[in-house]
Amino acid sequence: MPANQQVAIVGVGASKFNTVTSGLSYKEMMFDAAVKAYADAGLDPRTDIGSFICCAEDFWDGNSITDEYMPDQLGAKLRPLFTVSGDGLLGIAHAYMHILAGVADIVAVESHSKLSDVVSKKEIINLGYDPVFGRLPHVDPRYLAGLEMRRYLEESGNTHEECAEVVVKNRGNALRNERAVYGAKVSTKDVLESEEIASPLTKLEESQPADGSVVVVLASRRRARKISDRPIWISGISWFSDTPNAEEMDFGQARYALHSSIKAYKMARVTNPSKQIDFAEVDDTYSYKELQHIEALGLAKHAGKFVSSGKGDPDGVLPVNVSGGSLGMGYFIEATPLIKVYEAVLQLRGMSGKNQLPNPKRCVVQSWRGIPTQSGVTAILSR
Amino acid sequence: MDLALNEEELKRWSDHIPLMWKYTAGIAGERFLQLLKQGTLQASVCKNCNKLFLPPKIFCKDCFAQLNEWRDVSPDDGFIYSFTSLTSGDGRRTVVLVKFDGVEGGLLGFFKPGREEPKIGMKVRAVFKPKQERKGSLSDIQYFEKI
Repeated sequence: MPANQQVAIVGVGASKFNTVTSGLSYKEMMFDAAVKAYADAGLDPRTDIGSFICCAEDFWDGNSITDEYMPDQLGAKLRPLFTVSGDGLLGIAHAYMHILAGVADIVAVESHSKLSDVVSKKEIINLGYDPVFGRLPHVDPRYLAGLEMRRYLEESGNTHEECAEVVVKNRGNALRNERAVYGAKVSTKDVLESEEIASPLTKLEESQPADGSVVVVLASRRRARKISDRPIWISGISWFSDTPNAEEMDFGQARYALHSSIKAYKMARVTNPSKQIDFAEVDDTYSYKELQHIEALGLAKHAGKFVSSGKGDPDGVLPVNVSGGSLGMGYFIEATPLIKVYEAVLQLRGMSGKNQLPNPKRCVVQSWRGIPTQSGVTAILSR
Repeated sequence: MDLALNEEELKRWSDHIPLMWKYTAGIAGERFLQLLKQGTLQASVCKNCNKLFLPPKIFCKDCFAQLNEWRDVSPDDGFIYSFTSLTSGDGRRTVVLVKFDGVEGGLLGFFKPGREEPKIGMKVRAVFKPKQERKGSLSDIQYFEKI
Protein backbone atom coordinates (compact mmCIF):
# COMPACT_ATOMS: atom_id res chain seq x y z
CA MET A 1 0.00 0.00 0.00
CA PRO A 2 1.54 3.38 -0.96
CA ALA A 3 2.04 5.88 1.82
CA ASN A 4 -0.31 8.79 2.41
CA GLN A 5 1.51 11.49 0.38
CA GLN A 6 -0.23 14.80 0.94
CA VAL A 7 2.34 16.72 2.98
CA ALA A 8 6.11 16.21 3.02
CA ILE A 9 9.15 17.44 4.88
CA VAL A 10 11.38 19.10 2.27
CA GLY A 11 13.99 20.72 4.48
CA VAL A 12 15.52 20.39 7.94
CA GLY A 13 18.10 22.41 9.83
CA ALA A 14 19.44 22.46 13.35
CA SER A 15 21.75 24.56 15.44
CA LYS A 16 24.56 22.73 17.18
CA PHE A 17 23.13 20.73 20.10
CA ASN A 18 25.02 21.31 23.30
CA THR A 19 24.75 21.29 27.08
CA VAL A 20 25.60 25.01 27.15
CA THR A 21 25.51 27.35 24.16
CA SER A 22 27.85 30.06 25.27
CA GLY A 23 27.56 33.44 23.62
CA LEU A 24 24.56 32.70 21.36
CA SER A 25 21.08 33.95 22.23
CA TYR A 26 18.11 31.70 21.51
CA LYS A 27 17.24 33.98 18.60
CA GLU A 28 20.69 33.45 17.10
CA MET A 29 20.31 29.69 17.54
CA MET A 30 16.96 29.89 15.74
CA PHE A 31 18.56 31.91 12.92
CA ASP A 32 21.30 29.28 12.58
CA ALA A 33 18.75 26.44 12.32
CA ALA A 34 16.54 28.42 9.92
CA VAL A 35 19.38 29.31 7.53
CA LYS A 36 20.35 25.63 7.33
CA ALA A 37 16.75 24.40 6.86
CA TYR A 38 16.00 26.91 4.09
CA ALA A 39 19.29 26.05 2.34
CA ASP A 40 18.39 22.34 2.65
CA ALA A 41 15.01 23.03 1.01
CA GLY A 42 16.44 25.50 -1.48
CA LEU A 43 13.88 28.16 -0.49
CA ASP A 44 13.89 31.86 0.39
CA PRO A 45 11.74 32.44 3.49
CA ARG A 46 10.99 36.03 2.47
CA THR A 47 9.20 34.94 -0.69
CA ASP A 48 8.61 31.18 -0.71
CA ILE A 49 7.23 30.27 2.73
CA GLY A 50 3.56 30.99 3.31
CA SER A 51 3.24 30.25 7.02
CA PHE A 52 5.56 30.04 10.03
CA ILE A 53 4.83 28.12 13.22
CA CYS A 54 6.86 28.29 16.45
CA CYS A 55 6.48 25.99 19.43
CA ALA A 56 7.60 27.81 22.56
CA GLU A 57 6.58 28.55 26.15
CA ASP A 58 6.80 31.88 27.95
CA PHE A 59 8.27 30.44 31.13
CA TRP A 60 11.05 28.54 29.36
CA ASP A 61 12.05 31.62 27.37
CA GLY A 62 11.76 33.82 30.47
CA ASN A 63 9.56 36.30 28.66
CA SER A 64 5.84 36.92 28.55
CA ILE A 65 4.44 37.20 24.99
CA THR A 66 7.51 35.25 23.88
CA ASP A 67 5.62 34.51 20.62
CA GLU A 68 6.07 38.16 19.63
CA TYR A 69 9.84 37.66 19.55
CA MET A 70 9.77 34.89 16.94
CA PRO A 71 9.45 36.51 13.46
CA ASP A 72 12.71 38.27 12.56
CA GLN A 73 15.21 35.44 13.02
CA LEU A 74 13.02 33.08 10.97
CA GLY A 75 12.60 35.41 8.00
CA ALA A 76 8.97 35.82 9.03
CA LYS A 77 8.60 39.59 9.53
CA LEU A 78 5.24 40.71 8.09
CA ARG A 79 4.41 37.12 7.18
CA PRO A 80 1.76 34.83 8.69
CA LEU A 81 3.26 33.46 11.94
CA PHE A 82 1.84 32.04 15.12
CA THR A 83 3.21 30.29 18.15
CA VAL A 84 1.90 27.04 19.52
CA SER A 85 2.06 26.57 23.25
CA GLY A 86 2.92 22.93 22.79
CA ASP A 87 5.67 20.60 21.63
CA GLY A 88 7.34 20.70 18.22
CA LEU A 89 5.41 17.75 16.88
CA LEU A 90 2.18 19.63 17.52
CA GLY A 91 3.69 22.34 15.30
CA ILE A 92 4.13 19.73 12.56
CA ALA A 93 0.45 18.82 12.99
CA HIS A 94 -0.50 22.48 12.56
CA ALA A 95 1.68 22.74 9.43
CA TYR A 96 -0.06 19.66 8.04
CA MET A 97 -3.43 21.31 8.59
CA HIS A 98 -2.32 24.65 7.11
CA ILE A 99 -1.25 22.89 3.95
CA LEU A 100 -4.35 20.71 3.60
CA ALA A 101 -6.60 23.70 4.36
CA GLY A 102 -4.93 25.71 1.61
CA VAL A 103 -3.63 28.36 4.02
CA ALA A 104 -0.12 27.89 2.60
CA ASP A 105 1.72 25.55 0.25
CA ILE A 106 4.95 25.74 2.23
CA VAL A 107 5.22 26.02 6.02
CA ALA A 108 8.20 26.30 8.39
CA VAL A 109 8.02 24.90 11.95
CA GLU A 110 10.52 25.89 14.64
CA SER A 111 11.13 24.91 18.24
CA HIS A 112 14.06 25.57 20.55
CA SER A 113 15.56 25.02 23.97
CA LYS A 114 17.95 27.31 25.77
CA LEU A 115 17.69 25.40 29.02
CA SER A 116 21.22 26.46 29.97
CA ASP A 117 19.74 29.95 30.51
CA VAL A 118 16.98 28.69 32.81
CA VAL A 119 18.09 28.87 36.43
CA SER A 120 14.73 27.88 37.97
CA LYS A 121 13.95 24.68 36.06
CA LYS A 122 12.30 22.84 38.97
CA GLU A 123 10.27 25.89 39.91
CA ILE A 124 8.87 26.13 36.36
CA ILE A 125 7.93 22.44 36.40
CA ASN A 126 6.26 22.97 39.76
CA LEU A 127 4.19 25.84 38.34
CA GLY A 128 2.79 23.36 35.81
CA TYR A 129 0.86 21.60 38.57
CA ASP A 130 -2.67 22.45 39.63
CA PRO A 131 -2.15 25.33 42.10
CA VAL A 132 -4.67 24.06 44.65
CA PHE A 133 -4.18 20.29 44.56
CA GLY A 134 -0.90 19.46 42.81
CA ARG A 135 1.81 21.74 44.19
CA LEU A 136 3.13 19.88 47.20
CA PRO A 137 5.08 22.20 49.52
CA HIS A 138 8.85 21.63 49.59
CA VAL A 139 8.66 18.54 47.37
CA ASP A 140 10.67 18.07 44.18
CA PRO A 141 8.08 18.34 41.38
CA ARG A 142 9.41 15.13 39.84
CA TYR A 143 7.47 13.25 42.51
CA LEU A 144 4.86 12.52 39.83
CA ALA A 145 7.44 10.66 37.71
CA GLY A 146 8.30 8.50 40.74
CA LEU A 147 4.61 7.76 41.40
CA GLU A 148 3.95 6.94 37.77
CA MET A 149 7.04 4.79 37.36
CA ARG A 150 6.30 2.65 40.42
CA ARG A 151 2.69 2.05 39.44
CA TYR A 152 3.58 1.42 35.78
CA LEU A 153 6.18 -1.21 36.70
CA GLU A 154 3.70 -2.87 39.06
CA GLU A 155 0.96 -3.08 36.43
CA SER A 156 3.10 -3.89 33.39
CA GLY A 157 5.36 -6.46 35.00
CA ASN A 158 8.41 -4.66 33.57
CA THR A 159 11.34 -4.33 35.98
CA HIS A 160 13.60 -1.56 37.16
CA GLU A 161 16.54 -3.42 35.58
CA GLU A 162 14.74 -3.28 32.23
CA CYS A 163 14.32 0.50 32.67
CA ALA A 164 18.06 0.68 33.27
CA GLU A 165 18.59 -1.25 30.01
CA VAL A 166 16.85 1.61 28.19
CA VAL A 167 19.47 4.03 29.54
CA VAL A 168 22.33 1.70 28.60
CA LYS A 169 20.95 1.37 25.05
CA ASN A 170 20.16 5.04 24.42
CA ARG A 171 23.35 6.49 25.84
CA GLY A 172 25.27 3.83 23.92
CA ASN A 173 23.42 4.76 20.71
CA ALA A 174 24.35 8.39 21.31
CA LEU A 175 28.03 7.44 21.15
CA ARG A 176 27.51 6.66 17.45
CA ASN A 177 25.59 9.89 16.81
CA GLU A 178 27.92 12.83 16.27
CA ARG A 179 25.08 15.28 17.07
CA ALA A 180 24.41 13.78 20.52
CA VAL A 181 26.05 15.22 23.63
CA TYR A 182 25.20 12.64 26.29
CA GLY A 183 26.74 9.54 24.70
CA ALA A 184 28.28 7.26 27.33
CA LYS A 185 29.01 3.67 28.13
CA VAL A 186 27.07 2.96 31.29
CA SER A 187 26.02 -0.30 32.95
CA THR A 188 22.68 -1.18 34.47
CA LYS A 189 24.48 -1.19 37.82
CA ASP A 190 25.63 2.42 37.25
CA VAL A 191 22.04 3.38 36.45
CA LEU A 192 20.41 1.60 39.38
CA GLU A 193 23.02 2.84 41.86
CA SER A 194 22.99 6.47 40.73
CA GLU A 195 21.47 9.09 43.00
CA GLU A 196 17.75 8.70 43.69
CA ILE A 197 15.49 11.44 42.32
CA ALA A 198 12.06 10.13 43.28
CA SER A 199 12.18 6.43 44.05
CA PRO A 200 12.40 4.24 42.10
CA LEU A 201 13.61 6.81 39.50
CA THR A 202 17.36 7.54 39.60
CA LYS A 203 19.48 10.38 38.23
CA LEU A 204 20.77 8.40 35.22
CA GLU A 205 17.19 7.51 34.26
CA GLU A 206 16.34 11.16 33.67
CA SER A 207 17.27 12.91 30.41
CA GLN A 208 19.49 15.93 31.04
CA PRO A 209 19.00 19.46 29.69
CA ALA A 210 20.41 20.52 26.34
CA ASP A 211 20.28 23.58 24.08
CA GLY A 212 19.27 23.55 20.42
CA SER A 213 16.91 24.83 17.77
CA VAL A 214 15.38 22.87 14.89
CA VAL A 215 13.55 24.17 11.83
CA VAL A 216 11.51 21.83 9.62
CA VAL A 217 10.10 22.94 6.24
CA LEU A 218 6.97 21.20 4.93
CA ALA A 219 5.28 21.42 1.55
CA SER A 220 2.15 20.26 -0.23
CA ARG A 221 2.42 17.17 -2.45
CA ARG A 222 2.50 19.30 -5.60
CA ARG A 223 5.24 21.62 -4.36
CA ALA A 224 7.20 18.90 -2.55
CA ARG A 225 7.73 16.92 -5.75
CA LYS A 226 9.17 20.05 -7.45
CA ILE A 227 11.29 21.22 -4.51
CA SER A 228 12.76 17.95 -3.31
CA ASP A 229 14.05 14.74 -4.83
CA ARG A 230 13.82 13.05 -1.42
CA PRO A 231 10.62 14.22 0.29
CA ILE A 232 9.78 12.59 3.63
CA TRP A 233 6.00 12.23 3.88
CA ILE A 234 3.93 12.85 6.99
CA SER A 235 1.82 9.74 6.39
CA GLY A 236 -0.14 10.06 9.60
CA ILE A 237 -0.33 12.41 12.58
CA SER A 238 -2.58 12.69 15.61
CA TRP A 239 -2.57 14.23 19.07
CA PHE A 240 -4.48 13.54 22.28
CA SER A 241 -4.74 15.11 25.73
CA ASP A 242 -5.70 13.01 28.73
CA THR A 243 -6.81 14.45 32.08
CA PRO A 244 -4.37 16.95 33.65
CA ASN A 245 -5.39 15.91 37.17
CA ALA A 246 -2.64 13.81 38.71
CA GLU A 247 -5.17 12.03 40.93
CA GLU A 248 -7.13 10.76 37.92
CA MET A 249 -4.29 9.74 35.61
CA ASP A 250 -3.83 6.16 34.49
CA PHE A 251 -0.20 5.41 35.36
CA GLY A 252 -0.49 1.89 33.95
CA GLN A 253 -0.51 2.99 30.33
CA ALA A 254 0.16 6.09 28.21
CA ARG A 255 -3.37 6.60 26.91
CA TYR A 256 -2.43 9.75 24.96
CA ALA A 257 0.12 7.71 23.00
CA LEU A 258 -2.23 4.75 22.57
CA HIS A 259 -5.05 6.83 21.10
CA SER A 260 -2.91 9.17 18.99
CA SER A 261 -1.03 6.21 17.52
CA ILE A 262 -4.23 4.34 16.61
CA LYS A 263 -5.37 7.38 14.64
CA ALA A 264 -1.96 8.11 13.08
CA TYR A 265 -1.51 4.46 12.03
CA LYS A 266 -4.94 4.51 10.42
CA MET A 267 -4.07 7.63 8.41
CA ALA A 268 -0.80 6.00 7.37
CA ARG A 269 -2.50 2.67 6.59
CA VAL A 270 -0.30 0.89 9.10
CA THR A 271 -2.17 -2.18 10.32
CA ASN A 272 0.63 -4.02 12.11
CA PRO A 273 3.09 -1.51 13.57
CA SER A 274 5.54 -4.04 14.99
CA LYS A 275 6.03 -5.41 11.44
CA GLN A 276 5.50 -2.33 9.28
CA ILE A 277 7.51 0.27 11.21
CA ASP A 278 11.25 0.15 10.49
CA PHE A 279 12.40 2.25 13.45
CA ALA A 280 10.92 4.41 16.22
CA GLU A 281 11.90 7.67 17.90
CA VAL A 282 9.74 7.65 21.02
CA ASP A 283 9.68 9.86 24.07
CA ASP A 284 12.27 8.77 26.64
CA THR A 285 12.28 11.76 28.97
CA TYR A 286 12.61 9.14 31.72
CA SER A 287 13.74 5.52 31.24
CA TYR A 288 10.33 3.99 32.05
CA LYS A 289 8.55 6.32 29.62
CA GLU A 290 10.29 4.62 26.68
CA LEU A 291 8.91 1.25 27.82
CA GLN A 292 5.45 2.70 28.42
CA HIS A 293 5.47 4.35 24.99
CA ILE A 294 6.75 1.26 23.14
CA GLU A 295 3.75 -0.62 24.53
CA ALA A 296 1.23 2.18 23.85
CA LEU A 297 2.45 2.45 20.24
CA GLY A 298 1.93 -1.29 19.73
CA LEU A 299 5.61 -1.90 18.94
CA ALA A 300 5.90 -4.66 21.56
CA LYS A 301 3.64 -6.22 24.14
CA HIS A 302 6.26 -6.48 26.88
CA ALA A 303 8.60 -3.56 26.28
CA GLY A 304 11.00 -4.53 29.07
CA LYS A 305 11.75 -7.90 27.51
CA PHE A 306 11.80 -6.27 24.04
CA VAL A 307 14.57 -3.86 25.11
CA SER A 308 16.56 -6.24 27.33
CA SER A 309 16.64 -8.90 24.59
CA GLY A 310 18.13 -6.38 22.12
CA LYS A 311 15.12 -6.15 19.82
CA GLY A 312 15.20 -2.36 20.10
CA ASP A 313 18.94 -2.11 19.41
CA PRO A 314 20.21 -0.56 16.15
CA ASP A 315 20.67 -4.11 14.79
CA GLY A 316 17.46 -5.41 16.39
CA VAL A 317 14.10 -6.09 14.72
CA LEU A 318 12.77 -2.60 15.48
CA PRO A 319 15.39 -0.07 16.57
CA VAL A 320 14.05 2.38 19.15
CA ASN A 321 15.80 5.72 19.69
CA VAL A 322 18.77 4.86 17.51
CA SER A 323 19.56 8.61 17.70
CA GLY A 324 20.24 8.19 21.40
CA GLY A 325 16.84 9.62 22.30
CA SER A 326 16.54 12.23 25.00
CA LEU A 327 18.62 10.14 27.38
CA GLY A 328 21.48 10.25 24.87
CA MET A 329 20.90 13.55 23.04
CA GLY A 330 19.45 15.59 25.88
CA TYR A 331 16.12 17.05 26.86
CA PHE A 332 15.11 20.07 24.76
CA ILE A 333 11.73 20.97 26.35
CA GLU A 334 9.25 21.76 23.55
CA ALA A 335 11.89 21.12 20.88
CA THR A 336 12.46 17.54 22.08
CA PRO A 337 10.22 15.85 19.47
CA LEU A 338 11.43 18.16 16.70
CA ILE A 339 14.97 16.89 17.37
CA LYS A 340 13.52 13.38 16.97
CA VAL A 341 11.89 14.43 13.67
CA TYR A 342 15.24 15.86 12.51
CA GLU A 343 17.01 12.60 13.34
CA ALA A 344 14.26 10.52 11.68
CA VAL A 345 14.49 12.58 8.47
CA LEU A 346 18.27 12.07 8.31
CA GLN A 347 17.71 8.31 8.80
CA LEU A 348 15.04 8.10 6.08
CA ARG A 349 17.28 10.08 3.71
CA GLY A 350 20.21 7.77 4.50
CA MET A 351 22.26 10.70 5.83
CA SER A 352 22.46 9.90 9.50
CA GLY A 353 26.18 9.08 9.60
CA LYS A 354 27.71 6.42 11.85
CA ASN A 355 24.34 5.43 13.31
CA GLN A 356 22.63 5.06 9.89
CA LEU A 357 20.23 2.10 9.67
CA PRO A 358 20.16 0.00 6.49
CA ASN A 359 17.50 1.38 4.15
CA PRO A 360 14.66 2.38 6.51
CA LYS A 361 11.40 3.38 4.82
CA ARG A 362 8.93 4.16 7.56
CA CYS A 363 9.16 5.28 11.19
CA VAL A 364 7.07 6.50 14.08
CA VAL A 365 7.97 9.65 16.05
CA GLN A 366 6.12 10.24 19.30
CA SER A 367 6.10 12.98 21.92
CA TRP A 368 5.03 13.46 25.51
CA ARG A 369 4.83 16.91 27.04
CA GLY A 370 6.47 15.93 30.32
CA ILE A 371 5.25 16.08 33.91
CA PRO A 372 2.63 16.92 34.97
CA THR A 373 0.91 16.30 31.62
CA GLN A 374 -0.65 13.31 29.92
CA SER A 375 -0.65 14.64 26.38
CA GLY A 376 1.34 13.92 23.27
CA VAL A 377 1.55 13.52 19.52
CA THR A 378 2.27 10.55 17.27
CA ALA A 379 3.45 10.93 13.67
CA ILE A 380 4.32 8.41 10.97
CA LEU A 381 7.08 9.49 8.59
CA SER A 382 7.86 7.63 5.37
CA ARG A 383 9.76 8.03 2.15
CA MET B 1 26.85 55.05 32.90
CA ASP B 2 27.51 51.88 34.86
CA LEU B 3 30.84 50.44 33.78
CA ALA B 4 30.97 47.80 36.50
CA LEU B 5 29.79 44.90 34.32
CA ASN B 6 32.38 42.19 33.87
CA GLU B 7 32.76 39.99 30.77
CA GLU B 8 30.47 37.24 32.11
CA GLU B 9 27.73 39.76 32.88
CA LEU B 10 27.96 41.06 29.32
CA LYS B 11 27.45 37.54 28.05
CA ARG B 12 24.51 36.60 30.24
CA TRP B 13 22.21 39.00 32.03
CA SER B 14 20.54 37.81 35.22
CA ASP B 15 16.99 38.75 36.06
CA HIS B 16 14.15 37.21 38.04
CA ILE B 17 10.37 37.28 37.78
CA PRO B 18 8.81 38.23 41.12
CA LEU B 19 5.11 37.48 40.56
CA MET B 20 2.11 36.64 42.72
CA TRP B 21 -1.25 35.08 42.02
CA LYS B 22 -4.43 34.43 43.96
CA TYR B 23 -5.92 31.21 42.68
CA THR B 24 -9.69 30.81 42.92
CA ALA B 25 -10.48 27.34 44.21
CA GLY B 26 -13.92 27.44 42.54
CA ILE B 27 -17.31 26.11 43.60
CA ALA B 28 -16.20 22.51 44.02
CA GLY B 29 -12.72 23.35 45.30
CA GLU B 30 -13.92 25.81 47.93
CA ARG B 31 -16.52 23.37 49.21
CA PHE B 32 -13.95 20.59 49.33
CA LEU B 33 -11.45 22.72 51.25
CA GLN B 34 -14.12 23.92 53.73
CA LEU B 35 -15.05 20.30 54.45
CA LEU B 36 -11.40 19.31 54.70
CA LYS B 37 -11.04 21.88 57.46
CA GLN B 38 -13.81 20.03 59.29
CA GLY B 39 -12.04 16.72 58.83
CA THR B 40 -14.34 15.25 56.20
CA LEU B 41 -14.04 14.32 52.53
CA GLN B 42 -16.70 14.74 49.89
CA ALA B 43 -16.68 13.69 46.24
CA SER B 44 -18.92 15.05 43.50
CA VAL B 45 -21.29 12.57 41.90
CA CYS B 46 -22.03 11.99 38.22
CA LYS B 47 -25.35 10.15 38.07
CA ASN B 48 -25.02 9.50 34.31
CA CYS B 49 -21.70 7.70 34.65
CA ASN B 50 -22.29 6.44 38.17
CA LYS B 51 -18.94 7.91 39.16
CA LEU B 52 -17.57 9.87 42.11
CA PHE B 53 -14.79 12.42 41.63
CA LEU B 54 -12.15 13.36 44.19
CA PRO B 55 -11.08 16.16 44.45
CA PRO B 56 -14.61 17.11 43.38
CA LYS B 57 -15.44 18.96 40.17
CA ILE B 58 -18.68 20.49 38.94
CA PHE B 59 -18.29 18.80 35.56
CA CYS B 60 -17.88 15.20 34.45
CA LYS B 61 -14.91 14.62 32.19
CA ASP B 62 -16.55 11.54 30.70
CA CYS B 63 -20.10 12.66 29.81
CA PHE B 64 -19.67 16.45 30.23
CA ALA B 65 -22.64 16.72 32.59
CA GLN B 66 -22.83 19.43 35.24
CA LEU B 67 -22.49 17.92 38.70
CA ASN B 68 -24.29 19.25 41.76
CA GLU B 69 -24.56 16.24 44.03
CA TRP B 70 -22.04 15.35 46.70
CA ARG B 71 -21.30 12.22 48.65
CA ASP B 72 -19.18 11.57 51.73
CA VAL B 73 -16.04 9.52 51.30
CA SER B 74 -14.69 7.93 54.45
CA PRO B 75 -11.13 9.09 55.26
CA ASP B 76 -10.58 5.56 56.62
CA ASP B 77 -11.24 3.75 53.33
CA GLY B 78 -8.14 4.66 51.34
CA PHE B 79 -5.52 2.48 49.68
CA ILE B 80 -2.13 3.35 48.23
CA TYR B 81 -2.25 3.56 44.42
CA SER B 82 1.42 4.52 44.23
CA PHE B 83 4.20 6.04 46.32
CA THR B 84 7.62 7.60 45.90
CA SER B 85 10.32 8.74 48.30
CA LEU B 86 12.28 11.93 47.82
CA THR B 87 14.98 13.75 49.69
CA SER B 88 14.75 17.52 50.00
CA GLY B 89 15.78 20.23 52.44
CA ASP B 90 13.22 18.83 54.90
CA GLY B 91 14.76 15.36 54.80
CA ARG B 92 13.40 12.21 53.22
CA ARG B 93 9.65 12.05 52.68
CA THR B 94 7.29 9.62 51.01
CA VAL B 95 4.58 11.01 48.76
CA VAL B 96 1.53 8.79 48.28
CA LEU B 97 -1.35 8.90 45.85
CA VAL B 98 -4.25 7.47 47.83
CA LYS B 99 -7.41 6.23 46.13
CA PHE B 100 -10.75 5.14 47.55
CA ASP B 101 -12.86 2.23 46.38
CA GLY B 102 -15.44 3.29 43.83
CA VAL B 103 -14.02 6.82 43.54
CA GLU B 104 -12.35 8.31 40.46
CA GLY B 105 -9.26 10.31 41.41
CA GLY B 106 -7.82 10.40 44.91
CA LEU B 107 -5.63 12.49 47.16
CA LEU B 108 -1.93 13.36 47.09
CA GLY B 109 -0.25 13.50 50.46
CA PHE B 110 2.49 12.09 52.66
CA PHE B 111 2.91 8.68 54.23
CA LYS B 112 3.37 8.60 58.00
CA PRO B 113 7.10 8.76 58.76
CA GLY B 114 8.39 5.79 60.69
CA ARG B 115 9.31 2.17 60.36
CA GLU B 116 6.28 1.08 58.33
CA GLU B 117 7.12 0.70 54.62
CA PRO B 118 4.37 1.69 52.19
CA LYS B 119 3.14 -0.81 49.59
CA ILE B 120 0.89 -0.50 46.57
CA GLY B 121 -2.59 -1.60 47.66
CA MET B 122 -1.95 -1.02 51.38
CA LYS B 123 -5.12 0.10 53.22
CA VAL B 124 -4.61 3.53 54.74
CA ARG B 125 -6.53 6.22 56.58
CA ALA B 126 -6.19 10.00 56.38
CA VAL B 127 -5.01 11.50 59.67
CA PHE B 128 -6.03 15.15 60.00
CA LYS B 129 -4.08 17.79 61.85
CA PRO B 130 -5.62 19.05 65.11
CA LYS B 131 -8.63 21.25 64.32
CA GLN B 132 -6.98 24.52 65.36
CA GLU B 133 -4.06 23.91 62.97
CA ARG B 134 -6.19 23.29 59.87
CA LYS B 135 -6.21 25.97 57.21
CA GLY B 136 -8.51 24.59 54.53
CA SER B 137 -5.80 23.11 52.34
CA LEU B 138 -4.61 19.64 51.38
CA SER B 139 -1.97 19.93 54.09
CA ASP B 140 -4.79 19.67 56.66
CA ILE B 141 -4.26 15.96 56.19
CA GLN B 142 -1.09 15.46 58.22
CA TYR B 143 -0.37 12.10 56.65
CA PHE B 144 -1.84 8.77 55.62
CA GLU B 145 -1.18 5.83 57.91
CA LYS B 146 -1.56 2.08 57.60
CA ILE B 147 -4.75 0.67 59.04
